[in-house]
Amino acid sequence: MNKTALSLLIGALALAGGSAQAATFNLCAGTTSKTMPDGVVVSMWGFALDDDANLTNGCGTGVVQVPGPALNVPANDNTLVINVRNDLAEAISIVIPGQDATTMTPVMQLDAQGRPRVHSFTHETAPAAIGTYTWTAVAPGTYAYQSGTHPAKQVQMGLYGAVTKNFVDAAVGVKAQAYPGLSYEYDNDITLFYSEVDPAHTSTIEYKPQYFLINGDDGLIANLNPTKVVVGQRTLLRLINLGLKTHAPMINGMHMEVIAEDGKAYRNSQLQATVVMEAGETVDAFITPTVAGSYALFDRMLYLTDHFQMGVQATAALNPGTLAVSLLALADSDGDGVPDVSDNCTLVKNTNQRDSNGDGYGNMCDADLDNSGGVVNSADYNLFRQRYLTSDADADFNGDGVVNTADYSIFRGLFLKPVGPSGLVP
Amino acid sequence: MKSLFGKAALATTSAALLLAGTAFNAEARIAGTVGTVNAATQTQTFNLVVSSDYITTPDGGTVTIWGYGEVGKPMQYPGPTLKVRAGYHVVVNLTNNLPGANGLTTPMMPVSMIFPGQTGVTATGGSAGLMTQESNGPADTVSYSFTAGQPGTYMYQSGTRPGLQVDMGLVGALLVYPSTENPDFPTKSYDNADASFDREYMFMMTEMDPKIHQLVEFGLINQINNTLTTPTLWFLNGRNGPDTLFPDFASWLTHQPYSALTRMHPGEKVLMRMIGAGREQHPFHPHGNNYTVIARDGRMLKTPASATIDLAFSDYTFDVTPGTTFDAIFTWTGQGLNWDMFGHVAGDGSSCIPDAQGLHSVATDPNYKEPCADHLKPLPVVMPENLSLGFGGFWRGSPFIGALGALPPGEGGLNLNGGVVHIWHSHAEKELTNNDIYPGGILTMLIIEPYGVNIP
Ligand SMILES: [Cu+2]
Repeated sequence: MNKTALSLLIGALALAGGSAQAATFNLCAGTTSKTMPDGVVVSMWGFALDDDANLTNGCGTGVVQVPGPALNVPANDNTLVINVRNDLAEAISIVIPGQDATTMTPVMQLDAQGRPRVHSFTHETAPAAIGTYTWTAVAPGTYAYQSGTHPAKQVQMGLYGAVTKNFVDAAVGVKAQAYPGLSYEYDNDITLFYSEVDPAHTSTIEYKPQYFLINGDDGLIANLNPTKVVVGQRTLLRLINLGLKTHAPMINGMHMEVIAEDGKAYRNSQLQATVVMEAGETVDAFITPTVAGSYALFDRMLYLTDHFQMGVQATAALNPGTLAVSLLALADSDGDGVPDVSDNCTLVKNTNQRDSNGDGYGNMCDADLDNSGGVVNSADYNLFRQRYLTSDADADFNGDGVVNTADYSIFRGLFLKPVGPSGLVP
Repeated sequence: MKSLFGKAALATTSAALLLAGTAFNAEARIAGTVGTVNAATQTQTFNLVVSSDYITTPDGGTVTIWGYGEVGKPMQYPGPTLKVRAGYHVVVNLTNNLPGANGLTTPMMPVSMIFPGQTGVTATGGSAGLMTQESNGPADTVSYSFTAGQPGTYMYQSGTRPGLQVDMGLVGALLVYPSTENPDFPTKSYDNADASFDREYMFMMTEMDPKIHQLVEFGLINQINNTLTTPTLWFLNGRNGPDTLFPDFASWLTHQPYSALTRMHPGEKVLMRMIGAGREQHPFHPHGNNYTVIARDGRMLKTPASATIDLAFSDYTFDVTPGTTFDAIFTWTGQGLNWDMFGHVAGDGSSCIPDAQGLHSVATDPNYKEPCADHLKPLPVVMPENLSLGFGGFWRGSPFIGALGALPPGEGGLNLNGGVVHIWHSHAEKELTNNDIYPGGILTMLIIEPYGVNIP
């Protein structure tokens, strides 16, 4: 069973039962490789999500990825358990900076002069072993899990991923709340995970990243998650930087409302065009576009090309490069929260999208009762009269259970006009 | 200077001028351009060209850059500071006059402009690039237009391959003044009393890696590796220190018109508009006092929900980050020095009548804003012999403001009005050099001069 679904289910049960449960994720750490745009293949370490609850048989169809699987902890779960099977050749561990851990026992080793040195921030999982890491008081916010063992090497190799938790999860009639309070309500969220690759993997001292990644992707991410940015709606950008360099995402065309840093809400939010993310930092920011169109979000530290790309661009033109995304804000002409492209009445507010005859036109803009496809005419009027004061679903435009004067006034508004328009019917 | 804006605005400003008394100086503004103003249609039009030329560094070197310039005027670094009024319709027409690569006549690459912080920018003409429309040559003009939004300090820059083009020089400032203010004679930067000032100065921080500029000059763009950029030149308003101290439009700095020298009278409120326009963070650091940061990215540090919650903060160093603008208010009175910085002695006819802040309240006196607690207090130390002193160009030969003492031959001479001088600089020490030679880079001076001195 899908782990996220399982935890969501557990979360729902917990809500019903009034007591919190644990969100459990089963991961495998292993090797993978990424092919960069110039064809160079870079070996990396990452995590895979298990396809069943049994790590002794490996992660099955789960694929090792960088960043690792995004772990969303249901709002009602206080406890997070990560079980990890280590398929790498050296010991690893998992830490989440910013989340309270119950016990962290550092692992020491002696250096050449016999002095103890911290090798791991917490208990290690040996190669081929399965380890468990537990947080019993998970706070809402945007965080990253990462290796706590030899992090200068293992984090650079790719052992990291996002951990997110809402204060309130979205449900029917309930908006998600990132942090406690109505001012933290939002409609959609997008996680942007910044990281870097130095293919030489030499050291952190000679560190010279040559590739820059967002969500593990190298290259412009065009029109990212278009359904998640809608005019008039509030989108939460969860920005995470697990690169070793500072990055400064700048948005063109609007301001961001910056609400939190490192998973902790500011007492007062701040409007900014650019946010600064130092290594290991997370930032939460709302955007609420007022005009439909494409909005560039690009790294103002100008890590915008991989090492080879300047030449490629000179001839092949237009790639501004890597640490940039374009967010396509969709129009929502009637302001009902459903973007026009998926709204079955683009010009009439109908958040519930009720469409009793299933023809792609919502009832609120579909008085074509005989389904003739044309203009609403006298034939439709006759049908409406016959169904007046019944509970006919199609003629009950407003869905209140009865065809009455309210529906008649809607009918009059639609009379002699074409059905729709609907974003679902071309 | 005659204002290009309407009479109503002038009347407003004149009233403010009277209220501000002698502290106001009509020339105390940031050099820039208001473009062609049509007060009837409330439109400001700017015609800009991108071209290639050389800037000079204080060590006598030159660097090839690309810059924006107004039609008929030299291209410049940074681009012209566009000064507009909130609510005005702004039109920027941009033409690409870059040279061709390897003898070709078409420019080596398209160019464009983006205006982060402005909403609803439309672009017509040219061809579509990734962020906006781009100009491809001298006959291909792109027109950007928008309604200037909320007042504040903003930047504009190239939206085409910014990793290269920003380093090459395609950045500039956009200052949006409150609709009640005249950009030619401003008295406040936001619609809020906390943003009122006597003088305003810009501090745009950038840097360059000359190697990139050489490769561009030699037509070897393909060999640039942007991930290994290593700047060795740091700029304030497009100049390396100490060229930053020369006046605006110094004739020998054709393509670097903007000074960064800061001059004020004691007690005046100086608005610092700090802009991170390059690709590195610069810890900018005034001496003489803390400043109060009042705005970021063109938004006052007050909560969106409640303008009554003030998030402004006092500081003396913080990172000016790429893509970020900070507005800060700085003031200096000498309060707490523990000696009479005017060098008054009993019986010289001077007076000190404290206001609520303890500062001399008679605006017509040359010691206006003197801290009265120190009035007539003698210098608490004996001045050392000249042989025991080291000198800088700004040494005035005296510990008293407005006074000039005997200077050894060849020493001092830069401080003609006997002002109190403080260095303002980036505290990343490597940024105080030009190609590894100190002093230089992000470095300028603050000079506080008594009220008798007319500060242009
Ligand atoms: Cu200093």
